[in-house]
Amino acid sequence: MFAYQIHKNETEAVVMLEGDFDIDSGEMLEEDILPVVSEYDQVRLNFGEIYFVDSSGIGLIIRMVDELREGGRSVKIEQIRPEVMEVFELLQIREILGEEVFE
Amino acid sequence: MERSVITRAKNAEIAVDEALKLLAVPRESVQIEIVDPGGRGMLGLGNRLTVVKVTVLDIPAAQTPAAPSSAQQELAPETLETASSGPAKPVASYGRADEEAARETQEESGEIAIVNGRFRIAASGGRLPLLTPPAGAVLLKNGVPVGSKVSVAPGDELELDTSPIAEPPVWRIELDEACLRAEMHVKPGFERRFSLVDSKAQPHLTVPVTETRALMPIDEAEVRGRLKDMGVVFGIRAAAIAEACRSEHPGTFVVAEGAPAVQGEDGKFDTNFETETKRTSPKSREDGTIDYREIVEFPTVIEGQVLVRTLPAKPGRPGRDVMDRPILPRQVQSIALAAGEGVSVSEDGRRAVAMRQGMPRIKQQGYRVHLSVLPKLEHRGDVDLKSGNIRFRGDVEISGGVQNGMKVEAFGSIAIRGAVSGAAVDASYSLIASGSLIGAQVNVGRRSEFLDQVEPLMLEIASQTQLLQSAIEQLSQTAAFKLNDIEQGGLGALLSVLLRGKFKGLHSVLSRFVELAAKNETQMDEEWKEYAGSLKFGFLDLRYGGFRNAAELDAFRRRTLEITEGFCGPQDRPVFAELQYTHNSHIYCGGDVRIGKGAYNATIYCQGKLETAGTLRGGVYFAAKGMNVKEVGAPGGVSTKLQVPEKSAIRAARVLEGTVVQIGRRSFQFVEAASNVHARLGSREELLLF
Repeated sequence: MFAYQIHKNETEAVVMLEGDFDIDSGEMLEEDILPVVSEYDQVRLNFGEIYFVDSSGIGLIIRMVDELREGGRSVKIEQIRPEVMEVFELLQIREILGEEVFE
Repeated sequence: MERSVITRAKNAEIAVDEALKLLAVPRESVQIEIVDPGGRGMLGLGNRLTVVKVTVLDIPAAQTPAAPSSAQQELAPETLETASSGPAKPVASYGRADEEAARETQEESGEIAIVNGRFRIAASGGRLPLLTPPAGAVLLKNGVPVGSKVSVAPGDELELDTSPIAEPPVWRIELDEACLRAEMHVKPGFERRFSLVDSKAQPHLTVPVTETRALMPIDEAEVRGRLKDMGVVFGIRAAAIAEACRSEHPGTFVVAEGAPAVQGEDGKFDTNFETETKRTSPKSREDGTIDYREIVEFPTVIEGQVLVRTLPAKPGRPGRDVMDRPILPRQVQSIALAAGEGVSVSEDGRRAVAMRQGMPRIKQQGYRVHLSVLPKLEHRGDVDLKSGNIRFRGDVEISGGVQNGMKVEAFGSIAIRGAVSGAAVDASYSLIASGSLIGAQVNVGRRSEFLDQVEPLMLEIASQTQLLQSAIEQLSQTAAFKLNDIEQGGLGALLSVLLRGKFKGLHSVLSRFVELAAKNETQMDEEWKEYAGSLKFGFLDLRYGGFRNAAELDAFRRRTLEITEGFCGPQDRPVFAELQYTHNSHIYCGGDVRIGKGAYNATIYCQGKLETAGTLRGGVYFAAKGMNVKEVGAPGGVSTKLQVPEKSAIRAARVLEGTVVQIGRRSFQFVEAASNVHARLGSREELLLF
């Protein structure tokens, strides 16, 4: 199960994500979320309601963050749950994306 | 009544006179005793006066009833001792008086005896019998223990304390380090009882007693309890405990003994082919040609031949310590057969079979045995522009020669029957050149650059892959990580994340490998190509999803090790070069070099020994393990130099003038010819030539 809501103001888009961030959420992320948020200078991905990830999901996050930053956007990932953070730590996502994404 | 006086004077005469004066009796009525004759003192120190004792005899005693006591006292300074009348006490040191005293004592003494276990004390007069208590036992006198010699009187109550004296046993249990033995150290305990022995009456009785000892056995239940407290529950020996508890002598008893583990045996393997390199001289045929097929250089196996059989490891039997804990025997290792090229290993892993004819190679690293069969290429005729260069992963035999500009390269060994002129020859193991080498470039036993470069990469890939495997294992156990996509699509997505993050280092090593492999593609055979492909599509090019699962990743890691083992590690076959004649050639050999007829103007560098039955005429020759040559040097003055490291030696039957020999850093040029040269360094690093 995967769902999202996007809150927007002038410069910022906040994406509230919910559910499993996995291979099945990829399509939604790439086709629905990415085109919308890439209009904004700042994008915040709220992981507060993300309970599971898989390797494809993580691959997608990396790709999405890379793409947004290439377009000059600033990206932050927020409120990661501890059990998801454990996975991030093992995969050294912080090192891959840079500390600033998690501030 | 007796009266006597003791006087002292310079001599006996004067002393006696003095005494007679004092006693006021004539000389006839006294008895004179010289107590000390006097004279020079010991060591001449001081003069001793003569001492006499004069005693008035009884008969005239009445004549002089009173002695002027005042006069006696006045004379005191002259008198040592004055014994006047009365109940004279015997003075022990005075002979005669002593005898009297003894008589008097007997008359007055008491005696003590033991009759039927009871003391009998008899005493008359003022003397009491003496008693010494028995050692060890307690003697009560009027209810008080007697400590040392005492006198006893008839009314005294003497009693031997016959209640038992207990010395309880002392014991302890010790465990050895391995908990395989519990030893009980025992000092037995006894109850001792004393009883009186009858004795006849005597004035001084040392009380005789007899002692009876009764063993105080140790409580077996207590011992068992102690063992239990210590945790000893296995291998308890009831008989030994009983024996220990009843032992009358101090000792050590093994009261529990565990069963040690029975060690197993590691797996072994039998080799089913000749591993030794046989060397026989080539045979000349009657027509003058040489039959090279008679040279059995390397063992050969045929297709289907079983190369190796393994004998399984025999596991040991676990033992048990006295705490009833298992003792595991050493882990036994089985032989693992690894199939290299041309070899297949049976499904049960017990046999390795040759898949083609060729030269078997065997390498053992620990319990891993790597086998491969190198093919053999037989080239008929010359290697020339028509045949093209030869590059072969295996052994090469050329029945002709190698012509100008051509190249022969073999991963195995090379045998060339004809002449090699102006060509390059490169053999991984050995070279046998029966013809001349003229203007040749020869490399024997030198690994290709590619292998040198790729070896450390592959070792790194293997160890990093192992870390990668455990990282994936760890990840799959975290709660928030879903494995569905891996099950569906393989490890690719995960690997790409890991190779960007934690395993960045592995990524660069893999990329470097792919780069090198692409550059050296021509050198790679099917085995290598297959491996390089699996690496590329497993990790880097994820179009097909990468490795499917952990098992594939593990198989890749093992394959990496196998291939690396295949080309590195200890040399399994000797490296050597056997030449007949060489001229203007450049030769490198990783092992020994033997030259049949001789070398002219050659450069030879060998890591082993250089031997020749011929002449080295001109050129530079180096041999790490020493040289043995028949003749060296050139009459024309062409410079010839022989060189060995400092620990090696050069032997030459004949050295011509102008030849330079160098041992380590010391060198010498022969100004004139010499025979039987043995050049080496002496103990002070001086150069010795003969």
